Amino acid sequence: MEQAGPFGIYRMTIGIPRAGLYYLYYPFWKTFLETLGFDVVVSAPTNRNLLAAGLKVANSELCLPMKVMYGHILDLRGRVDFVLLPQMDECSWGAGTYGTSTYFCPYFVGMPDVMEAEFPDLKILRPVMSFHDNQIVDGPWLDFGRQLGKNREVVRHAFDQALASYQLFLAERTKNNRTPLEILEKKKVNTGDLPQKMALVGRPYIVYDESANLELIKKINQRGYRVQTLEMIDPEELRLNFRQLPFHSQSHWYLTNEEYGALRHFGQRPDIAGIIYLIPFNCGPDFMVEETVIADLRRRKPVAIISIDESTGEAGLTTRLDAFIDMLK
Amino acid sequence: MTYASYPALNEYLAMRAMFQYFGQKFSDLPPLTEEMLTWGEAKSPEYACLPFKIYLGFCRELARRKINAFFVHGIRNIRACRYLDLWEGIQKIVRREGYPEFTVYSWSGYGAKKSFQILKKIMGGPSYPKMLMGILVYSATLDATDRLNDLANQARPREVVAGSVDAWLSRWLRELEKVRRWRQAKEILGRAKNDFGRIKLGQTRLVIKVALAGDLFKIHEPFFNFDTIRKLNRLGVAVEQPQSFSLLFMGGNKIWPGGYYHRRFRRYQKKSQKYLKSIPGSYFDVGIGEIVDQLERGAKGIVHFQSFGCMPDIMFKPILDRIARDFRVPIIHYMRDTHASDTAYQTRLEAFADLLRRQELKK
Repeated sequence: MEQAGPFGIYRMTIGIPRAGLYYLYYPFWKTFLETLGFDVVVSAPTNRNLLAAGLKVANSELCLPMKVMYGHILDLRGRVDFVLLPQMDECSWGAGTYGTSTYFCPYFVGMPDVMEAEFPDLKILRPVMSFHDNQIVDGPWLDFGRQLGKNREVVRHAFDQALASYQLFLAERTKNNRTPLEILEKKKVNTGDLPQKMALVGRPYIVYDESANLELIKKINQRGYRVQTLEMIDPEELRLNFRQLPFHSQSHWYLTNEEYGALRHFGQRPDIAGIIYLIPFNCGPDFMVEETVIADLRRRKPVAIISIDESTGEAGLTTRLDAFIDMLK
Repeated sequence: MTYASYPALNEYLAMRAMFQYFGQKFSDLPPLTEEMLTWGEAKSPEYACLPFKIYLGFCRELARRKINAFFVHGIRNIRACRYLDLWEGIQKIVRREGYPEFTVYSWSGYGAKKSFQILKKIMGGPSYPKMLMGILVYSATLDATDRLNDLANQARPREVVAGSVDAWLSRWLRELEKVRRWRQAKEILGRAKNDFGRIKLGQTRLVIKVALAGDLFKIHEPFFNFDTIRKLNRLGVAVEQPQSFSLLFMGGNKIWPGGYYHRRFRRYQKKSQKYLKSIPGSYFDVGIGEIVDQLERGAKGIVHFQSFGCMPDIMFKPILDRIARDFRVPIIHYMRDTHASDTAYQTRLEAFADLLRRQELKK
């Protein structure tokens, strides 16, 4: 979209933080905005300075991924006209009756409000993002596009393009067995001779943020294991797996349920040597994972739970990983 | 079946009245204790929040007493904190530890229709008129309980004889234990108000009003919040009971559309809109709107009580800071974990009350 500025006409830029749900929905967001005529800018990859800036501002009680998110928003501040922070909403299935809906963590629901409170000068775009039967619901995006001053047909076209791009991304992950890190960041993962497979389960914003998790995937690769992650599993397969849990054991959190599904899925696969469950310290939604799935899973597969925060040291993480791999041998 | 609920803010009195009305057994509740917290902490998952730990200990005590049904409030929307995970997690752990099974029922929060269905099932399928009367008994007792608590909170900073307000409050709360009919609750409230006139209050004292903020669990349960309201009252600071059960139940469920609580509920929602467009916690919007409303009506500061690991509380913090900036009032955030000290908290509150008093005297 073009706008008159002091030096002539320029296209408005919208910043997307390379954090949080970027690893799941970036292709959708980018295509939608670009088709509408905006320039998209992504924040720098997480690094020490960016994290340090986030830590300075963020609530000390927040989990590491949220502190990282602060750093990314600070990185975008002043560089872009708007920052895109979708307000994550309900994920429902079937007829939407009670008990079939799950939600994103409250941080993702309330993040636009919190960031508005923290950075009054920041202009935030906050479309509502909800899902039905694992599909992105179009209504809020069509409304959002029209709020941006575009007509109905253009917005519908942008949404369809964005959805197609998201479907491609999903297929690339599940059919070609590639991680979002390879697709979005063009990073090399699982290359070379890796005879065995290790599952790495956790939230995408901690599993794929190499700076936050101290390059855990690379470390696993270096030890001769091919990494398999949640995002490589077909969403329907994930859903079938967590739906097999008793109703009251299923979580009310969307991503936690996906983790339940992935843990059960990897637990049944004979080609997986062991499972690493990566959790950000003090993660609210994941607090029952051990009780619900892992206690049972341990009877079938070796499982290591690695909790991570901003103080986690390279040496400590390496030692944990080496100890786990020694046990597998 | 013997039912129990949680003890917060004496809301169980209203539950008891309703269960008595339907002829069901409702147990006396054990008070929350440090021992419950210690046990709960030892058995909880690593990242469990403080309410989880305390209620785990509390539910173990219920299970020990052979209470097999726990009846709690639902929430308006399930995206709230870990509320439902909380009860299910607690059930799982109590069972794992070898205590008898118990069932958790929750009502309200899902709207009137769903709540009605749940209640009908639990109460053995009474007729609809009887159901309505039962809800009326609950609502009237709840309203009376909240009004008594609120009167006490406003009066305590002015009491001349220390403890006289609390003696009055506990006398009339005991009276509410006898409620069987909704009119009884109204009568008791009327008599209590008349009796209230006999308490000696120092009308010339400088009393400063503050707004108390935080997630429901903490601000409703004096054991969690180190009895913040009484502590503030003793320092000459008055506090309105935030997010009262009457407001949430009657206002949130539109028990009387257009009625007092419903109007208040809507007003708070409206007032929160400047700061909040999403609802990241159960009654987050109502809580924020209530704080704004109290500041507009002359509250001079904000006390935010939070517990370690509570997600809605973490979200509350920056938004409350923004409100405090907008209204130019001081704010204190206090976070409690299992090792927090009552004395340290008291000291911080004293310093905060001093600051407020000096500000007022300067004016």
